[in-house]
Amino acid sequence: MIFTSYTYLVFVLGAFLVHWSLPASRRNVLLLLASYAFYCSWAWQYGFLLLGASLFNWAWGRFVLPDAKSSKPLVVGILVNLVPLGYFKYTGFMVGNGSAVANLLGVNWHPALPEILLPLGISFFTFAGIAYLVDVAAGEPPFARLSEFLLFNGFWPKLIAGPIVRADEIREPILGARTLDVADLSAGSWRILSGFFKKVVLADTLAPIADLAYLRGSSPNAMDGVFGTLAFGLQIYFDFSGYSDIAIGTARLFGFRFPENFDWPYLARSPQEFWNRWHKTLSRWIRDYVFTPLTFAARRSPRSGPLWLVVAMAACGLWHGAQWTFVLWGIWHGLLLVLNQTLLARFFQAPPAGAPPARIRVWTAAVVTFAAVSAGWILFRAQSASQAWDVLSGILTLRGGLRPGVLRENAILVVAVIFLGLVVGQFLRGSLGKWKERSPRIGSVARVLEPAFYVLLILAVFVFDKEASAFVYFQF
Amino acid sequence: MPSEPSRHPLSMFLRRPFWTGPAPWILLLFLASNLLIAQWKGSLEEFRRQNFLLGTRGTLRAQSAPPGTVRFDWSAGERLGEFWPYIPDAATHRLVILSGMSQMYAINEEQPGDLTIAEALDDAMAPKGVRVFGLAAPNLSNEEALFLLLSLLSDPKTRPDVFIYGVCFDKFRNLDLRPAYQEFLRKHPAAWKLEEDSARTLAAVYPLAADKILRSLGDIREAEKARADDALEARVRGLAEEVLPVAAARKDLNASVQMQMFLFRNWLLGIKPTSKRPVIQGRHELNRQFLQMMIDIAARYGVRTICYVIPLNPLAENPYIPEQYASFKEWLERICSEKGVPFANLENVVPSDEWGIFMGGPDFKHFKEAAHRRTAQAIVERFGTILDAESSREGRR
Repeated sequence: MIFTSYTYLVFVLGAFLVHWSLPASRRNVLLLLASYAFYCSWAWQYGFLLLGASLFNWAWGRFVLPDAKSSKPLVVGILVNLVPLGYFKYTGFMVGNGSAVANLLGVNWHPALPEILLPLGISFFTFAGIAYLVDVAAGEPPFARLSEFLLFNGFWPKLIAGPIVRADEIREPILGARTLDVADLSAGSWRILSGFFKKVVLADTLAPIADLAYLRGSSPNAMDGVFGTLAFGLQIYFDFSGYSDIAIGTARLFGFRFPENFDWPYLARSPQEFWNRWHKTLSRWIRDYVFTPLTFAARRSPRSGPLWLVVAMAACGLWHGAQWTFVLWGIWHGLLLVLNQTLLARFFQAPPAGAPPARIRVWTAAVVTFAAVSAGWILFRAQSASQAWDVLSGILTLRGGLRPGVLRENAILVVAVIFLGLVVGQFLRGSLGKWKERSPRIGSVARVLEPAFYVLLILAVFVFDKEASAFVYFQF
Repeated sequence: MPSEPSRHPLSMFLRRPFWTGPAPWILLLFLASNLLIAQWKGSLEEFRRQNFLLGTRGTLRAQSAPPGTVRFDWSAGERLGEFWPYIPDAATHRLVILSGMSQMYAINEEQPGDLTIAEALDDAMAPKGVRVFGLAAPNLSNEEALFLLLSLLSDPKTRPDVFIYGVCFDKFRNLDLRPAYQEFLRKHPAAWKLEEDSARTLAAVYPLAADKILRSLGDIREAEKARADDALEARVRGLAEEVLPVAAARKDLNASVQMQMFLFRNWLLGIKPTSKRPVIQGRHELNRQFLQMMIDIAARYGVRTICYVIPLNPLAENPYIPEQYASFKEWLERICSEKGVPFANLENVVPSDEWGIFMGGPDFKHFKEAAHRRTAQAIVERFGTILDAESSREGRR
């Protein structure tokens, strides 16, 4: 069962009605059962993996870490969490690289790469588990009851694609009585609808465009590279933030408030700001549980800070996927963050708003940041470093001039319209509230149009659903 | 002051704040749009028929047709599986397949009893024991033509002796398998396997095309896996289609929305049916590889491929850049010659009075029934000896 399925909506509706019909004392049990049912609907065997990881983390946090005299138990706990992740996600990567190194050294070793099915959300629940152990070791109270921890670790909205929620962020609704009012219902439903729209209408429309521009073996022109990469940057944003929206909205319907995960990242004015707006809970995780411990460990050589930043971001890249292109993507962002803090600190520094020259600088910084982030997406999307180089060199040498070699003008237009929509949306977001405050008439018009807007989004989700994809003759 | 008694959370649905908010309006508007769409059902279906340039037979079911009248895919690819069983049995007849884009089945100013190229060819060849069947679809790309050939080859009953392909220059812009063909592949494992095996076998010769095929198959497999993993989802969707007109009509609505987007694009970029549009090199190259791959595979299975350049209206302006079109024709002729494929340029066989009107101007690609007969006649004249030649089919099967 995926988030953007009709079944998921039925599942959420059923769980919602049963959850709020039950006495408060039974609601956690219902959520726990529903979470495991959701997870096992994908591959029931891996339900045991989630359960096993949860049992270990609960017991380790409850009985071992609070009395630990050194950091060794914490290290053991983290390693135990990393073993399944390493096995399921990185075995192929490690074997492949081991074989390549062996062959370089003259050893003829060509092992068959194992086909291992990656358990759904393993990266997310592993990171949540590690964060929990570190927090408990740092003095946070552990969950006393197993059922509470199982719910924290297995609550289905955050299982697939985050946000990576910390224990203290949902401890209260797990332990105490949860409430629901019309505002929660409205906000939760809106976020679910928004997530469906982003994923089904926008991301799924952009995906084939990016796929075509990055078709293996083709040599895309500059226009293909630019618009294909732009399409991918938008696709991954709508895809990921759409899933986060559905997770946050679903949680809200059950009385939980998850932290936000995306905050209009493409108009960030510096790489640092980008990471404060993009997949925020992952950035926080990398900062708190990778970068900070690394710099703390190397505190006697403060000049090594930039190095650890690059290392932390490389780890972030590797977390996204077991390929060197992801590692390179992480290193690229690490270097951008280092530049942000050193050579280009003044350029990226946010000036006081207002004066025209400052405004130009802000815009320039935003455009440079966007270009740098987009260059990173080339590495992220390419199937190999050589393909990434081919796309990048095509763009830099203006291969084909303004003529695309793969993409049709339809595709280019779709990408441009969606991108402009995103930019306009960013500005409207800030301005609409101000306009409503200034003019009550605008407020009342907005209230009247609001239901029509929601219905349009709902209809769009039906009409742009992949299964609704129709063939259209007129394509000249 | 006594505290307010705690209310049941679900009781909010009965209270004022819920009913004075946007929720009731949303429900009402959603209901109204469903009723509206239910009212539009007829026009949406008509739009679909026009969209595919389907004639009077376009919406008919193959099963309800009188025996022997189904001689091409009336659905223009949309219901390929329904028409597949009507392909004459290759074990008992010499089988010729005519494939190509909408010119093969669209009839301008259609009258009852009009024949398409495939039907006229079948009439001409049937007395010689040769049966002809048409498999065409609008904007058929070479990737799709290759898919049709491989699907035919995957079953001895449909394995043709001759595969005639009417090649259209501007279809070299198109890629991907349309959803209906993807559906067909999902349901025909033998065709799937042959498609996959062929891509792997010829990957070294046609890397772009092979990779594209494998990617298309990967996408279909992924969608199929999601579907198989969740049979429940299919049931829920089926139920939604029964209850909600918007769910039932979503394909037609999608086509209609795409049409509006297409018109918007034309308006925005000033594109007309006759605007000169250069070929997109990458797509053109991929389609070239698909065509060559098709010829090679056909040869491996002992199927004679015939290629011809489709007729064009001499009086209508077309969107081709003359030099590119000329170079395309030269390339096609050269490839056919190199690979021993019979070739003809039928560009000028249809006189100007046998075409029709499209979007207010002369149609440059679709013609009246007389031209269907004329094209069939031209094919018989050029390739008749190949179509009815005795072959060593028993030996090769």
